[in-house]
Amino acid sequence: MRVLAIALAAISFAAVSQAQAQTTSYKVDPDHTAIVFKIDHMGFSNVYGMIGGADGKIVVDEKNPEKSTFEVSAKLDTINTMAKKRDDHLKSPDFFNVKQFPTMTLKSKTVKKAGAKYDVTADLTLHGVTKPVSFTFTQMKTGKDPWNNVRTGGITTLTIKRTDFGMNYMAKPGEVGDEVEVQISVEGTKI
Amino acid sequence: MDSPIVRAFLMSAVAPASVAAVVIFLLGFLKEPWKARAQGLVFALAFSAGAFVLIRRLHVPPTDAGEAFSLAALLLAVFIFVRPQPLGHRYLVRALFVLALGAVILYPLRQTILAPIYYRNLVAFFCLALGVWSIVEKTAPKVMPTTLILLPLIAATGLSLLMLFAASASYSQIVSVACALFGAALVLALVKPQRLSMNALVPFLSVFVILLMAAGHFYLDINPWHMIYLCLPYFVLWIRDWLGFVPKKTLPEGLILGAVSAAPLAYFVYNIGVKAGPLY
Repeated sequence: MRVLAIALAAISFAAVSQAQAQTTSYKVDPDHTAIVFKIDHMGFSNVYGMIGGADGKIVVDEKNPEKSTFEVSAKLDTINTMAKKRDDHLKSPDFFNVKQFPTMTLKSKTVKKAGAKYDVTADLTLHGVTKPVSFTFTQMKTGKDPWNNVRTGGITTLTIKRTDFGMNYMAKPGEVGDEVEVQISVEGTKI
Repeated sequence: MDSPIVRAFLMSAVAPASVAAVVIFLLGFLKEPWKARAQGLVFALAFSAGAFVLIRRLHVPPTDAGEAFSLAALLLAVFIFVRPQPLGHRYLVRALFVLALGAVILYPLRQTILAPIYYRNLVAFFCLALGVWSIVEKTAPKVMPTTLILLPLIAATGLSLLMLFAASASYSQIVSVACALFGAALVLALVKPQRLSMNALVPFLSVFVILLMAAGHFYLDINPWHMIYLCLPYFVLWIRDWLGFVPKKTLPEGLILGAVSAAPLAYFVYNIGVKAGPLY
């Protein structure tokens, strides 16, 4: 009887370990994660900017990609459009209102493998508003870096409307664009 | 009307102020306290409408300062409806109401505002709001209606400019809605002062302006001392009795006290603008 109990415990432990081995957790590497946005400037040209301070966790399930999850945030006070006065204006209540809403967050809801890519739906929280977004994520590579850390990374592009998130200042046609194209290039190191 | 800024000003400030002026004029036939109640409500609704045109959202509870300003204006109208007469010595009622208004204005910042670093300034703005409300209420019978409206209008205009220099055009535009409404009331006070209820206007001219100043400090990190300087017109109102050489007539009083208040503020705001640099 005791032998049977020990055997059952060993089998259960092995099963749990096997399940855990299927998933790999990665911590977002802020130094190798970039969020770049592009917005129309009154029809004259596009303005580009970057947001840094990325943080978060990615959990990848190799056997069941649908069970993969991620939650990534970025600090909006790092916004940089190469013009300090514009950066100050973007941080003001006219746009991101960084004092009240210091971070933006992207949290996964569903992940579906589509060939070599992933179709993802996630909740984007920005300016205190949470809206669902959909995008296709391309995983670029998973492997060891020169310092023996296991890394994974990929890129995606999504388009959002800032008025959906309550950023209505100068959002009419002919003013500053409503649609914002966001390119995210993310890397994580295994934890 | 090519400029979106001019268009926004006309739609959000001039239009509601014009409509409010006509409605307030028509409601001027009512007797007190109903005149105060009705005109207070019109004022609050016109302000909220102007703010809504600018920010295009209004949630309860408020999610940002723009929405909080609208709700505070409506709460002030409710207060005027319940208590249309001057408060006089009822400082406890005044204090409770300032606290309620302040809570609405600062509600979006509730998670960060209750930190020791902010306590001193919260108390300071609370006392300032109480004091200014008292001053304007006590001065109301002693000055011409145009002067009572003009001096707070000067303070509010200075505040709108400071907000603009602090890189918040949207909050500056919302305060300019209040300025336009004060301007409309000023025109009415010049043309037909008996149609205007000062009991309705006094809270908007006093405590509401101070709470907008508090919002400028807590939301935009504008130096609180700059808000103290903006209160110079209220100080001029306070010492009106000591300025016996100023005639108690509409135009001379308005021009002299207006100039005494506006000149130093204009110099101060101009210097802030120069330091802030070109607008973006």
